[in-house]
Amino acid sequence: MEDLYRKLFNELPGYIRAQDRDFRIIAANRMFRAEFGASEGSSCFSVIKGRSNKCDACSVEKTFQDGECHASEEIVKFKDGKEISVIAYTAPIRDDAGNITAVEVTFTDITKVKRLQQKYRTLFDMTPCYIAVLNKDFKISNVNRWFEQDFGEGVGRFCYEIYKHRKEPCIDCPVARTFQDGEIHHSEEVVTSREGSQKHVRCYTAPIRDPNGDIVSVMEMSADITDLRQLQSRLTSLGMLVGSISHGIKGLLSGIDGGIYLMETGFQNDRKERVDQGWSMLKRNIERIRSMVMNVLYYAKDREIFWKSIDVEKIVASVKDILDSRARRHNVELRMKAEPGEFDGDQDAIHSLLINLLENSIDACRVDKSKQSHTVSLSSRFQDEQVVFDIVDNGIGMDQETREKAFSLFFSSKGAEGTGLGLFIAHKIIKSHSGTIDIESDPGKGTRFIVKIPRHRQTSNGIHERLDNPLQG
Amino acid sequence: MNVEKKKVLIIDDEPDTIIFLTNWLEDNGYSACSATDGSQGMQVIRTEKPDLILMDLRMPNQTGFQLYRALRLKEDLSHIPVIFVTGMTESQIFGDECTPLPKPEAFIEKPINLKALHEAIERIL
Repeated sequence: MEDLYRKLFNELPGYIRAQDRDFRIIAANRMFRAEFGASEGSSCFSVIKGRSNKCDACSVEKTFQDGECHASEEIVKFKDGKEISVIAYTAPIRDDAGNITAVEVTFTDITKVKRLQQKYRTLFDMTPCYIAVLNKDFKISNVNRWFEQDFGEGVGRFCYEIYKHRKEPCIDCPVARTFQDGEIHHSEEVVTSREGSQKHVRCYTAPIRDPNGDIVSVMEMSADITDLRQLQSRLTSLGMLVGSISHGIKGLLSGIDGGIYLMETGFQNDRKERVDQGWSMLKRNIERIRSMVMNVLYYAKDREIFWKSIDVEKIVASVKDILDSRARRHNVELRMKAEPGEFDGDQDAIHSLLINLLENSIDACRVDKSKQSHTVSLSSRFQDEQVVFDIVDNGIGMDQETREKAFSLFFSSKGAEGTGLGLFIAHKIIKSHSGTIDIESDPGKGTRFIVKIPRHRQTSNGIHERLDNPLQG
Repeated sequence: MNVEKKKVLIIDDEPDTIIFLTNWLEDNGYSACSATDGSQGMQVIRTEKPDLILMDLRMPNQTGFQLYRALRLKEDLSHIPVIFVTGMTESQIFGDECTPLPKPEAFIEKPINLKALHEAIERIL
């Protein structure tokens, strides 16, 4: 009989051994001996792990202590050095009096299962979207690497807390719906990463069922569509730009038609004053179309700054030249005063900036019916290593809403002429020169723009750099 | 026989359009007067009593929309025919998503087609 048991023990398909309290192997089956080497009398930790002392969490020791069976996952080493993953099951062997005399240990090889598990884990981790597995109470039980990278560990915390910094579940949650009906649901959400950046995500939820078909958790996969949304918003704003300028251009084309009509009929009837009137109308509207096209180009392309030294007096005189007739036509007195000196900037951009601000001021005067006379003044001075442009008008003024939105794209409080580009572009130019702009304005009283631009070019590390060579940059 | 000229009021915030249309109307046998926004327009309507109004819609202060609605509600002025002369398209003004607006006597989109404008004025006056 004993022979039969011994034979059975030897031939069992698994790595089986028995140990005493001192971690010595007292018996081992054939498979164990074949793979781990001759071993009776040797300590288990040296044979299966190549260690010189016992393992920290030892199941054999636990079984000796509590007389219970235990199981643990281990990585063990064959005599040829090959490592395998096993589940070690321990069971007590008792004598007739019930005392534990030995512990039997069986290794089940799970290397293939582990590899498969690792393969799926890699797939889970490397799937290019955020994956979180959620319990019914919206607690996260597992996340992939992408999730961890952008939202942190997350396991054990609520999804709404991690994704949206909320204290309670979101309204109309697709995870809750999947728990309810077992179907796949989707939604679009804006979530906040651990760095605080906003991400637009398209989120899909799918049920995970146990062998009985009950939903035990829900997998939530969120694809980052921030780039797509940004592109969409850029396309939308381009659409708005086209809409916004098309109205303005139609008005300007009418002006050109008007100029041509006056010139034609003036020539036909030999009326010089009508020809002159038509000619100046034509020039005016062509100049305005030119300025509108330049603004669109500034908007459409992030123009690289061409740094050079700018003579304030010259640029102010050139701006006055362009705007003088426009101001006169609307009975607006244009006053210019420039402190002599130079500063670093992009000449064309600064020119557009001043034209945009002054045109805005002239328009504010043009629509103001409450005063007899109107003045727009531009003065410039150098102060604390900055050039300061002070533009003051006594036009219609701005209420709080207009003031707050003044630099927003496509916001215009004007009628036909407003494209909502002028002050937006002005602001963009000031920012690109590391400058600032402040508005002081009251309805009915007028508006003051104060623009401050560093006198010398500011480099990325914050150091002011003097541009002695005008071609530098 | 001295026939009194029909008077046309131009309401537009763009001075060049006013100069253009004033000259063109006078060349075509009408008299013209003008206003640069809705509120000024209402005053001129009262003082000049025009036979026809050419009205832009997007203007500062009071828009053409506001003026037109007010005009249609005033018993003594609602008979004055109006032509919208504007950079906006018909669908932008009367489309499904717009606040309902009574149709004017004619609609001319900028840039102005003078032939179409002439025909519309002849038909109305």
